[in-house]
Amino acid sequence: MAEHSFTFAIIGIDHRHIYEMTGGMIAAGGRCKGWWSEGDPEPLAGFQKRFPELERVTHRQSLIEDPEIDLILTAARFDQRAGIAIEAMRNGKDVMTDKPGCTTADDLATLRRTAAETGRIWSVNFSERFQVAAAQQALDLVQQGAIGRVLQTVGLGPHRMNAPLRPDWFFDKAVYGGILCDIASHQIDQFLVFTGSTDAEIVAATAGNMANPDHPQFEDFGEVLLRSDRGHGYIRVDWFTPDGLPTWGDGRLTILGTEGYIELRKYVDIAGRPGKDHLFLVNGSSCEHIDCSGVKLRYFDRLAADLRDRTETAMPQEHAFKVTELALEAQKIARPAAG
Amino acid sequence: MTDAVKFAVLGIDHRHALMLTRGLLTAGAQIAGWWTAGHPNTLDDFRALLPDVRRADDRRTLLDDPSIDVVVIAAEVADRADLAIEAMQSGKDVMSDKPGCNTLEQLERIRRTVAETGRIWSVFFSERFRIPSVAKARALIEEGAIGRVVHYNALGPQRLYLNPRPEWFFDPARTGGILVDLMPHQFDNFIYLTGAGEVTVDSATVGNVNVPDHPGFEDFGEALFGAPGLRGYARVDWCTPGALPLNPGDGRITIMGTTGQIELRKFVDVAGRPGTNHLFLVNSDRCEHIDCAEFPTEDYYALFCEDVRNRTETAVGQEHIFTVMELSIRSQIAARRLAASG
Repeated sequence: MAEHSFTFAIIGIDHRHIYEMTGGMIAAGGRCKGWWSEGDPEPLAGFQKRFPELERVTHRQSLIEDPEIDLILTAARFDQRAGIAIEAMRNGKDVMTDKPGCTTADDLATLRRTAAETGRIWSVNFSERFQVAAAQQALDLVQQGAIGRVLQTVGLGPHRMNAPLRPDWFFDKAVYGGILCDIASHQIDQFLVFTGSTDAEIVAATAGNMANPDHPQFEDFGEVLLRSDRGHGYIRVDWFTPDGLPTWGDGRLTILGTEGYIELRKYVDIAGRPGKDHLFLVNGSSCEHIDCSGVKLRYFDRLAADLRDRTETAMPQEHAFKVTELALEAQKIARPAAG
Repeated sequence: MTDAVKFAVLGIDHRHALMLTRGLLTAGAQIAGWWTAGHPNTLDDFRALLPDVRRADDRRTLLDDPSIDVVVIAAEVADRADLAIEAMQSGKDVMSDKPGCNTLEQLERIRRTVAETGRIWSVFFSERFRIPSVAKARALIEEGAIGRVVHYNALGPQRLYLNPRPEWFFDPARTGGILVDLMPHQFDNFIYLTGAGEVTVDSATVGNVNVPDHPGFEDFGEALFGAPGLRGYARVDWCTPGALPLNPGDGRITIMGTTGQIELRKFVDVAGRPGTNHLFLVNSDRCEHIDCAEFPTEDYYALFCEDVRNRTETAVGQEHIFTVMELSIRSQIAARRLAASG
């Protein structure tokens, strides 16, 4: 067995995203020294089934203060993530957080300051890009010039609500931060990356409860119109995945360029080809479906290299902050929508 | 007895003159004559379609002919309103290529003329009428197949050099701009499919992103809009890439409801199934592709002829057409215009 190149620990497994975060960092050569979480969150059984060898500790401080630990992963309750990340960075650890990395502008300001002061990495796992082979492949194609200069992206991000499986805090806006803070951050990340932008203007935003009167504080619909000096973007996110869809959401991204376009059917090609990671490329000479399922993902490996080399190859640090800032701004200015 | 509707064509500057003429002829109408100004690049094709029909030197000879019921208009966009008003004041009903006009002032004069003359002012929305996948989508929505509609998303790419484009096509002062030109399709589909009530436009954009030879031309446009209980977004552009088979482009409509979703791939299933009119339905218990090619559509041209005879509004509601044109023109006026980029 290869020697481990770094050591990590987990604080907060309140969201299932922790499964892939943990698996990804183990595969990237990390040794997990232990994990801590409060209470008995829904993902617990699945976590223990996937990672039976990992040890749960009783005091989170024992992980935060352990000098042997290089990296903290967190998928805690959304409103607790910033505090965990800040404490970890102040104890010399790098951080990979599930998205959203924080839920308030104050938290974001403290995160920025802490990262600058400590020199630590605060990485947000934008899983709808980093863990989607078709998205990675699309970025390579765009950067190779396959569709010319990118003019616009349209991202549709439906999610399955699974209300019975969700904890109470999932429906509490004060905890989860609102739909744009939560799931639109994926889409803002993709807008910036695919258009090659480092900043953007939120032209308009909407968020509201269209059809879930049982959870009046819950936002089931959101949209953002945005624009940068490089391109345009429209984003719709929602919790309306129909029961008949064979996966959690029919996530789409359409990237329009001066010489072609790319459509991603990330998780399902509805009533079409099997599997996920479908990319459709149309340009001056090509009109084809590309199966990206064999593409090797690189985020986790690059983050591992960044821990060692103090580089920003997985994602520029400022990008993580900017995406989060724009998502919070969109949430703040969003006009209400109602069914 | 039902006498055949007789029509004349005024202005063949857009190729849709051929489409509208064929449509009416197929529906049993008779052409009585045509007139156009100058030498539009459609002239040879139009003459080939109607070798035995004489071009009038003066449009008044057609407008003054009491046997003519209908005037078809596919002139330069900026001239359509005046021709339509002149025709209605001469007692003719009008079928116009879209857009039917390009300023609010023109639209207001058309409204007034319709009210005063009792004539029909119809605009042909070619991305809905006689498109089976749109008809099927509406039928499914009316059955409740996706619950209550909450969102409409449309992408309307077009192919720029499908046909030789006349010079006026590239001049927004003469066309009205991309939102006036192409957004009527989207507002028409939005209202038709969702039953939207009062529509408001929240934000709009136009720009020239990829046609440096014609800096004034607008090849990109978008609008964000809403109606009580639902939201909508549409993008229109002239950016269809060369290798896409079929025409005019990969037009999509995605309609999200509270319990399901419909996606239309109207003109092509990119790198997928052959043919046009693909509908994808996902709801509580279905996840399927529906080939709509054989789904029956209302025959706009035949209904229009019935409306001319019976003074009814079965082909398309008069107020609906006014609403669609007004929303498109207001979007254009409100649009932020991008600086040329590159």
